[in-house]
Amino acid sequence: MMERLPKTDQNILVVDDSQIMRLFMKKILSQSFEVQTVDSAVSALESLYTMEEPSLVISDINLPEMNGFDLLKKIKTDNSLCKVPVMIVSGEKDSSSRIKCLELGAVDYVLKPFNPRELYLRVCHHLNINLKRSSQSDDQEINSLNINRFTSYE
Amino acid sequence: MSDYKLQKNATILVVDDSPMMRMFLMKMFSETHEVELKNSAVEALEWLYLNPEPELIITDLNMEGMNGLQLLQKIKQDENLKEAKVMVISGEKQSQTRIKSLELGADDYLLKPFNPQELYLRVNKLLEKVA
Repeated sequence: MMERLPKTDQNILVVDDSQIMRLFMKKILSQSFEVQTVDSAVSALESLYTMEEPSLVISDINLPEMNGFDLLKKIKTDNSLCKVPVMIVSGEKDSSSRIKCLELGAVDYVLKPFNPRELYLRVCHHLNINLKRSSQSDDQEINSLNINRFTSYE
Repeated sequence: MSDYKLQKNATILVVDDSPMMRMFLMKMFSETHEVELKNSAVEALEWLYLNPEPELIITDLNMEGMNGLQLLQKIKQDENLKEAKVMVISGEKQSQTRIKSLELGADDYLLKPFNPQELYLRVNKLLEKVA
């Protein structure tokens, strides 16, 4: 089930130095949201100061020049930007990175590689969007999921 | 842990069939919050029927009888519980399970084993959202 919302007026700024990741994010999100992508934290700040305020910023951590922590700090300590929610999407598996981001004010931290559906759902959650669901199909899916301690892990 | 100032006094319902996990979560949150512990989804629903106003419900998925996804679905379909935030804490690593939880309306999903600091921060973020 890859249910998606029709286009909304919410706009998302994606900050990632990987072109493939920027394209991938655009593909996942642009059906429902306006998506702008930039390849550095400096370009992200330029955009944040000059363009319409985004509904959400999605940023990587390892970026050239200014990294994602510094971008997050900059956003969260700037009175004009601090209300913009920032979601971090990074390959940093260390829990200290995750904790640092949450402490600095990130609304969420998604580990790369991620499932596109999970990213989409988490984005919807942070934008306070409820996806309509069919309860009947939910019942079937819940029953079909093998929730026990012995399921094989991915 | 004591470095973290929790946002406000809230009621947290913990649903987990592991006594260790219940004790751990009780220890973690009971200094600042009212914590109610239940060891099954059915017990949790019985309690929620009489106490429909917890700010946060933390639930496991793997439980005898009704599982956590079924509990989550019941909570999210109940008008009386629409203000309650739900955090799933589970050892289920399959992304399919995480996705299903989020689709059913879980407000967050934390994988076991977790870092207590991360749980604290995520719980605070959810409680901040409660009006």
